Formats: sequence, C-alpha cells, structure tokens
Amino acid sequence: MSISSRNNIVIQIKNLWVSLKDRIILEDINLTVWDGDFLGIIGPNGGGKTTLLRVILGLVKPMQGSVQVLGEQVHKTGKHIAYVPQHAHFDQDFPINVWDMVLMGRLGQRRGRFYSREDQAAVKSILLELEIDALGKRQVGKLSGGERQRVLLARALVSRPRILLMDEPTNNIDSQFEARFYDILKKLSQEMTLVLVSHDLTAISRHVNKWACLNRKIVVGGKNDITPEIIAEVYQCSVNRIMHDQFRHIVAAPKGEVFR
Amino acid sequence: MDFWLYDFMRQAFLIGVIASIICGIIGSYVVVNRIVFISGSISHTAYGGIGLGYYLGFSPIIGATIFSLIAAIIIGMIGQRAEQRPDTVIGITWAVGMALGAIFVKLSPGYTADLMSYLFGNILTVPRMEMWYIFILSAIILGVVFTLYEDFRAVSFDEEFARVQGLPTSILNLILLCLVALTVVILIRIVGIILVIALLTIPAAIAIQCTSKLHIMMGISIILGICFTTGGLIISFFLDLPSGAVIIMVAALTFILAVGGNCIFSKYRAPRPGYKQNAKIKSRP
Ligand SMILES: Nc1ncnc2c1ncn2[C@@H]1O[C@H](COP(=O)(O)OP(=O)(O)OP(=O)(O)O)[C@@H](O)[C@H]1O
Ligand SMILES: [Mg+2]
Repeated sequence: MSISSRNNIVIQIKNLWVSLKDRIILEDINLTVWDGDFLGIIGPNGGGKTTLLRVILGLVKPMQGSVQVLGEQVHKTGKHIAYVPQHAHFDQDFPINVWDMVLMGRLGQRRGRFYSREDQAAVKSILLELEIDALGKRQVGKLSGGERQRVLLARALVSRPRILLMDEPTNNIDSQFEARFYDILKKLSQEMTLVLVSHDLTAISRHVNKWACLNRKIVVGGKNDITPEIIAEVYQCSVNRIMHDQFRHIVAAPKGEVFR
Repeated sequence: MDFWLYDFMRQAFLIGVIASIICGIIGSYVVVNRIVFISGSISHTAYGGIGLGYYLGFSPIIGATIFSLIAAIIIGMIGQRAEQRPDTVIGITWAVGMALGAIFVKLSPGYTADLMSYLFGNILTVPRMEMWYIFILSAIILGVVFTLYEDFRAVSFDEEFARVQGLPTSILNLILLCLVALTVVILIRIVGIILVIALLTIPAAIAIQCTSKLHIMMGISIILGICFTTGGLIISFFLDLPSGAVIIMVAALTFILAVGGNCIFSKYRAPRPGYKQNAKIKSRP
C-alpha cells in the first residue's frame, strides 16, 4: 500500500444522530478513520457500540448526519468492508458446514453466479491461518462458542476487505488463540483498516493507534492518550463529564498524533 | 402393472415427477427459511383466485396464480417492515383469500363441479393445457433457482451478512416468495390447496435430518417426493381412493417413521466411551 493512500479517509461520520424505537442511541457522533488506522472502541453495555458499527455497515439508518465509507455513501461498499458480528443470527439447524459458510464471505467478489476455484483457495488458506481447517466439514450449528467465533472471523477475513469491523471478537476465545488473534490483527493492520469493539482494555491499549469511548456520545483519542488510569476513568464515568473536564483537548485527535 | 396402460396414469406419473422436482427444491428453501406458514397462507389465498376464475369465466388455475403471487408480494413487503407483526399479516391474507373464494364461488353462474379437485387435488384429471402450464412454470422456477442458488442460500442463512456483502436481500426474499407461489400453483393440481403445505414440507423436513448440505437436502427431497407421488398414485389406483389424500398419507407416514427411526438409530450411532472417533463421522445425528 502506498504512502499516499495512508492519508485517505476511509470512514467519515459527521453529526450523526441515531434513534431506535424513539430512544436516542447515538448523539452527535463525529468520527474520522484514516486508511491504516486501528481504531478501538470501548464503552459500557448499551453504550451504542454495536449500533455505531451497524450504521457504518448501512444496516441502521441514521436519523440525521452523514456517514461516508471510502468516499461513498454506505450501501455500495460491500466488497470492501467486512464484519464480525457480536451475535450470529443464523439458524442452528441450517444445513451448511463451516467451509460453505466461510465461502459466503466471498459473495461480493464472486465473478459469476457461483464460487470460483480462487474463492475455494481463499477459504482454504484462511481456515489454515486461523487454525480451524479441521472444522471444515462440521455443521455450523454444532460448533462451540469459541469455534463459532473463529469461523465468523474467517468469514470476514476471507474477502481480504479494506475495512474490517469486529464486535467483541474475542468473546469465548481461549487465551492461547487470543494471543494468536492479536498477532494476526497486527499483521492485518499493515494491509487494512481495523475497527475493534472490545471490553478488554489492556488489549485495546496495546494494539490500537486510536480509540473511541462510546456512551451515547463519543470521545476520541490517539495512541498517546491511552493510559490505564484514563481508560478506567473513561469507562466508569459518563462521557459528558469527561468531555467537560480533562478530555476536551483530545476530541477528534488529528492524524499527527498516532504512532506509525 | 395394468395402471401403466392408461394414458391418464402415465400423464399423472409425469406430472408427479415434475412437481416433485420443483417441490423438493422450493420446499427445501421453505423449510430452512422456516416459512412453512407463509407458504400455507399463499396457497390458501389461491382459493380466492380460483373463485374469481369461476366467476369471470377464465381458467381457475390462472386466477390461482395471480392471487398467490399477490399474497406472496403482500407478505414479502409487509414482513420486511418491522412495525407490523408478520404473523398477523400471514393470517389475515390467508383468511381473506379463502373468504373471497367462497363469495366468488357462490356468485358464479352454473356448475362448479371440479371445485373439490382444487381443494383436494386430482392429478388424474389435469387437462393438456394445464399440463403445459405446469411445465412452463417449472421451467421458470428451475431457471431462477439455477441463477440465484447461492444468493438464496446466503439470504436464507444469514440475511444481515448477505446485505452487508451487497446482495439485494429484500428483492431476493420477494423473488423466493414468488417462486413459492408458483410452486403452490403447480401443487394445487396434485394435492389441492388444503394439502399443499404437507407435500411442500414433508420431503424437506425428512431430508434436513440426513445432511448438512443444502443441495443434497434438495436431492433427497426430490427423491422422496417422487416416491410419495408415484407410491400414493399406485395405492390410490388400487384402493380407489382420492389420489391427493393418499399421497399426503404416504408422506406423513414416512415422516413419522423417519422421525421415530432417527430417535432409535441415534442411540446406536452415538459414540460410546472407548469408541475410536473416525474423522469421517459426521457430527450430525
Ligand atoms: N433493534 C433495537 N431496537 C431498539 N433499541 C435497540 C435496538 N438495538 C439496540 N437497541 C438499544 O440501543 C442501545 C445501544 O445498544 P448497542 O447494542 O449498540 O450497545 P453496545 O454498546 O453494543 O452494548 P454491549 O456492550 O452490551 O454490546 C441499547 O440501549 C439497546 O437497548
Ligand atoms: Mg454490542
């Protein structure tokens, strides 16, 4: 990837308001994600993290404000954006095995109506990479929680997207694979933009170059602003209070502050 | 084998085979999508169209096609709006279709003798024109499924993910419901409006227990469907019973045996302590 593309904006959210069932869930969100960023999103349960990702994916319509992904309005970005959902919404009894489910990650890239040999090869290599090649023939509904989480990750990665959104992907994952998972992310961050929702503050602070705390409103910070004390405080306090005392200066941190 | 000598029997077997192929494919989508009752609603709404056909004097099967397509579109459009409870819409469409049918039939001039054959089917009395109509509908359904097989599978499995991947999920769902509507029209001739859902879902419901692949599920459903229709036909011929009802009884009995057999067999097949796990063993019971 060239240096210049690193300076492109991949996700730009301006004055976003979202309400679901007449309740305001997200309030005046402004967020800019640059090519190659690794953004970590933290926040309390019900803070709106999942909702924000769903807006970026075009699954939730904003009440107000604009969301641009790769310079376009959402909806037309299928090939470039992938998603690891927090909860998988599929039917446990559906007749499909792991291999075919991961293959569905290539839906946007298919050349014709069916999958090509290239698509099959991509599945094979991603299953090997995530150490789940032995699961290939297993029926998806019969997987354990952690196995399913890895399959969801494989399905997202198999398309080699430009943007990868992950909603608590380390749920149910054992500690051994978790270490490997972060290694993989580190490698991936060289070639794509990552957005990771997590409650694992240590992991966020170690790997991301930018973070956002979401609790209806958003606070955005750069790598250098993350210290364990600050995170702990952000997590417990309402975003409002933080905005008003010490954090005002880091809102919408400019690109210069990030590491790389 | 004297039933084979009759021309109408040979035609009935042919229609049964064609219908079983369509039924196995679309029935599999119906079962994995859990839209059995949507299909029931679509088929019962067709009664309104049959009544309208009698009333205005055109072919009832064309009326059935129009009404079931309208039902599919209404249910598809409203089901996609979260505010309305889909089951309410399904129930209302179902009842309104039947009510309209009853009114139209009552208003119709003249004799409506073959009405029963639309309610309970009669594969032996399908006119030549209708047979061609069934073949054309089948060709359309096969063509659409062949083109959109992967898309339908993706939408059925995980609609949200398919949408993120850029598939037009609402349109795909609507097309699938329209295919269900056309399948219903084909099956009305064989088992009748009231028994359609049984023939549509029983083969697929048995097949889903045997495999973890959708296309194999379709294949098994097709074979089962052919066994049910031909078996039912032969039995009804010898016992002189209504063919549609016998076909459904054969299917239902097989279903009961399959479910019962599955319960018994899974006990024997379950690995026991000391049993060496073979890599080829499927995890499915
Ligand atoms: N479909 C919906 N309809 C109505 N309200 C919703 C819907 N989805 C989410 N909400 C509400 O929006 C708020 C934010 O939910 P969201 O799932 O985005 O939280 P989250 O930050 O991801 O929480 P968690 O850490 O528990 O995953 C919650 O209060 C929730 O009740
Ligand atoms: Mg969430």
